[in-house]
Amino acid sequence: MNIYLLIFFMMLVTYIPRAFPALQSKKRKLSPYWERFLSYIPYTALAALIFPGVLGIDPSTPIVGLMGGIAAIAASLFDFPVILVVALAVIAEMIVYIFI
Amino acid sequence: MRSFKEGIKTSLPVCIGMVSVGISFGLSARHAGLSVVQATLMSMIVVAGSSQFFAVEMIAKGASPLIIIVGTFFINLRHLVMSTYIMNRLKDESFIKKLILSYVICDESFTLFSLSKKQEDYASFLGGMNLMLYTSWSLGTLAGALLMNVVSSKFADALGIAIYAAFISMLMPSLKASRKILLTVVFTALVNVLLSTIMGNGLNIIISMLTGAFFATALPDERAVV
Repeated sequence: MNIYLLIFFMMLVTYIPRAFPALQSKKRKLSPYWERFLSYIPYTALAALIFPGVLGIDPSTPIVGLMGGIAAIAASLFDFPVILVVALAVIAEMIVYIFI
Repeated sequence: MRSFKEGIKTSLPVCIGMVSVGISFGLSARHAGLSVVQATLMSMIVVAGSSQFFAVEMIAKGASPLIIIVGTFFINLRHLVMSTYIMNRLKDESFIKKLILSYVICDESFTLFSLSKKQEDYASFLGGMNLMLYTSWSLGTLAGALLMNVVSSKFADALGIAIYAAFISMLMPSLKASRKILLTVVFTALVNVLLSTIMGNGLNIIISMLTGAFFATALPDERAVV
């Protein structure tokens, strides 16, 4: 896969919706239904990316991903910053590797 | 100039978050096989966190570029709504200025912009914010990507969890605040677990996220968050 070409097309499909409202001189609104629909996409995208992918980090031992995931959930429940959540999940995973 | 400085000041607390998510992204991108230059360029050119994480995750899974581009489009389509709101406030500005300012419209800049108090010059205010957010995001990514050079390969493998930990941490505040989003997330996850047994290459992820969003839109609104 050509990563640079991929980056270019990602930019294109991202920038067009960002710039589109700048082209319009009059106020224009999306219908409330689609506005709501779009507002949920970030959450559903994250959900679909996490499950069941997190269990497949080490395909031979799903417990590795499971423990890392649990550590991340626990750490984010306490509102820790992202970088700390990531660090704790990695540590939890290392601990699992020591014991198996 | 005063509004520009105000924009910089307003963005500072969020910049710390952008740098740390940027570091996580840099690590994840390298883990998925991207080079330091590719990871950093993706942040500088695409400037849309969740879709970038999505892309590197899909690259690691071996998904087709078309699936990645379609997914990116849907994930970032919400910027259309945010940009509509922002452009309504900038309607007296020149067309070129609006085109430039719209490049960095994201969840963070929209939230800061829409919650801010009245400004003399909204374009400069947004410009100051965009500049800071863009710089934090790009430098964070570069730092994360370079960090991968100094860690051992065994440790690098363990970093596969980094992307998921970052996802979970991005999702958690909304899960705590809204039962509707919690329900939607659980529903979407279940749909994807089912779909992933019959299809792969990321097609399951696109279908699951669209199904989940239709599900959430059909649910009644919450009266108040308990």
